[in-house]
Amino acid sequence: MPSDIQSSSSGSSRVRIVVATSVMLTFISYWRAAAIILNDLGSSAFYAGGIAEQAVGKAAPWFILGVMLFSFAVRAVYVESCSMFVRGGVYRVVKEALGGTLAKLSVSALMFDYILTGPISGVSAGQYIGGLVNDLFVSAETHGLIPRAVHAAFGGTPHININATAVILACAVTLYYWWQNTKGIEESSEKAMRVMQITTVMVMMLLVWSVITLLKRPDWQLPPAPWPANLHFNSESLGFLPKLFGVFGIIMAFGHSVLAMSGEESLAQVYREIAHPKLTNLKRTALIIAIYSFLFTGGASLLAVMLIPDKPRVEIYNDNLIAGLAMYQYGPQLLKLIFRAFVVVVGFLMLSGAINTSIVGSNGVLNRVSEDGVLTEWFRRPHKRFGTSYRIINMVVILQISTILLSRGNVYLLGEAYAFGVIWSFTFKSLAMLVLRFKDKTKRAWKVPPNLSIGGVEIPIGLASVFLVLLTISIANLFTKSVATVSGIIFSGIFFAIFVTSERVNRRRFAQAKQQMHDQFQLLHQDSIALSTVDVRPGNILVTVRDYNTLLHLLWALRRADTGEQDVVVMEARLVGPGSAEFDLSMEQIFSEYEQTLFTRAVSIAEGVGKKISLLVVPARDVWSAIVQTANNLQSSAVVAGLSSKITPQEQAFNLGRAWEAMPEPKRQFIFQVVRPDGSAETFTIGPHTPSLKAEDIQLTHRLWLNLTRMQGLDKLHHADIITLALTRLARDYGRDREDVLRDLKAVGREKRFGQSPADRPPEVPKQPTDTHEEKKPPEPPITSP
Amino acid sequence: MNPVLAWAIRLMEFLFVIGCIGSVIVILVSGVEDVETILGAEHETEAQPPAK
Repeated sequence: MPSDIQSSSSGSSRVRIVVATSVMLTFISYWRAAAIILNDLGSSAFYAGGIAEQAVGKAAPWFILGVMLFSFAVRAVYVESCSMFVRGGVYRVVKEALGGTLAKLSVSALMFDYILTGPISGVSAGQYIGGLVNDLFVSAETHGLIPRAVHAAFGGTPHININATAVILACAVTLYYWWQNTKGIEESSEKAMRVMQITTVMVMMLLVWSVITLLKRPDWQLPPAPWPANLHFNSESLGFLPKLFGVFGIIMAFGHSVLAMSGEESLAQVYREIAHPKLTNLKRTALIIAIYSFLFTGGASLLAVMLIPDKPRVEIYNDNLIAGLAMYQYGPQLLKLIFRAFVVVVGFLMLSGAINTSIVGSNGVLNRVSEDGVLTEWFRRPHKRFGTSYRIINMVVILQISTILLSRGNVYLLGEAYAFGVIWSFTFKSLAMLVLRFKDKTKRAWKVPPNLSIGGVEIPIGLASVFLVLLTISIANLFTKSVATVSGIIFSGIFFAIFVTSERVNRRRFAQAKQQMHDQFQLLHQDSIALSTVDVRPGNILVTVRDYNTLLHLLWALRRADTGEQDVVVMEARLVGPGSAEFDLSMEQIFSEYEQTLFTRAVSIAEGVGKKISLLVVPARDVWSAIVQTANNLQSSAVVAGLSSKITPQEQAFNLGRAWEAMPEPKRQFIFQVVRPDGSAETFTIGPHTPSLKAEDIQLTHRLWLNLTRMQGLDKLHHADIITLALTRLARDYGRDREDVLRDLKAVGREKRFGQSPADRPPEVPKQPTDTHEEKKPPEPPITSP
Repeated sequence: MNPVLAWAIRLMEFLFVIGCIGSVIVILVSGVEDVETILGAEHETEAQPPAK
């Protein structure tokens, strides 16, 4: 029997709401997961080598390679943390092991890392583009292609200010992604895969061509060995220290190269979405990213020092090292210039993708801590039109734009500061994992090896070793990276203060809200959504809600539904960012003040029409996927939604259909109805369904049938046989001449859209059980099963 | 040099070297596991029935 929302099972007057605590996800392969992470991790290859060389001298590539090798060990820490928590981001793990204060500190450092990822990537992309433009001017000048007037205007060879170009470009791309994220950008692993495919082509070309160049040009030499005597620190890279110390210099050099490892945290972020078998696939993902970044970041840094002469490398290509590498290959100049342009295009794709990742990641982490009560609700109040946490996005982008402007396009300065967040978030994470080995004795699916057991006490040698390296580098960085230390401490301090203050404010407010909520709602936690958990019958109507100001479609659905026969489930898909997917969400995290207002209004509407509804909150990374999964799990016959402010009903249906196609079997069809503000509705069928045929098509089929059945041997022919033959022939023609078929189909589509007005059309045949996409229903149709 | 600073630097150097040696062992041991994982993936692929 359906549940009576006006009374809970305990008989109180509170409204019963089912809260799903597991985020509805679509799972991805380990290749896709690796592509997502490499979009962030691999982007550092474009600037890490140049920054490290500027800081420690010509031996820098060895340290970059060392850091990339060490990243194999760091990823082992992440694999263990993910195997323990499933969603093991820094905040969650540190909170579990070291408490809320250190968790807030670690997440402040992580925010510094995330926020600086945007500016350093944008400015670096600008450096590559600016460098290419200036080199093109030089090439054009050499070939006499520059008009005299232009030459005179520039007082010589035309050129642009690379740093200014980098600032403008970085700001423009950041603002572009700000708008995309405000609108609610769709994260696509497909896009990440494509970018990585193009990048892999570039990396392979770069490595193979470099090997050919090394064979053809015997004058190359390896960088000086990574010994203290070969390290040349400038005044900036010595930081607060007066002079270079023996082995300590090697730690300092590691500290200046550690930014090459940035992006490992993404491993924890994507783990939840990795397909079964999760741990094995996580290990594969981690191995792919480690090998890839070792070859790309490490290899490019090493080859740059081997192939580019010292003077141009330091003076011209320091901020666009891979572009320089392209220009110093063996071969004709034009080919090298074309390859350099390809490097710049790939660099732009990856680095601008990293800007987006930084906004998405920052938004995700801040949403995550906000849901945990560490940031006030004010920050994650949804955008009225787009439903995104626009205030957090605005804050992140304002910080990023300010950083870009303050840096004045200086990649080295940004790189120096950037390493602070990277190394401290790793250090906190490894310390937390080490503490958990003693604090939490539960069995792990995997542990960082080796582990020594003495007298029943396990000593985590591997984990402790990784922590020691990270800790010593972090401490060395504190003294040698003055820019990072000062800016990092100020930034993290501000964030920490915001977190602490917000948490106190939240605690007071939540105590009041909890009481109100307790009086009004009864929250039932369910890990998964099913008929039994929501307590509704098959064939129910699922009404999706988001904005409490636009609930007309709920009223529309309730007026038409006979709740005695068909249950109505009101569902809110609560969008959570990548950081939010770290672990199961608690009631406080999911059911905020916003949801309270939303469901209070929904209940009030239901009471107004005197009908019952069931309430449901589902955390989701993708709204469409969450709706189809919920509809499928609840065996809903119809899904009712309001008109989107962003897309048309057709696009809404298309997105839902696409999510339905991506859903694994078994799956059911359902009707999707989009209700416009004027009360009219458009109905679509989601899933394969019988198309509604036009009257003339049926007439044609019938005429064919009449003709054919007169022939000998065809008297048993059915109408359906004619359709079968027509479809089989269409499929055959499509296989033979795809373009021809597509042309005809487009012509049919045009005719359908523009050729005939509804009044001109012949009357349609009696209604089929289901409808094709985008057919308008008569006013106020009843909600029926397909 | 300040003796406390010198002592702290020596300690850090010692810890760093110990950590590096341990990390190399982590990389080697987990690397062997990775090879097994990759081989395991091949076995899984081989074990799958041919597509119809």
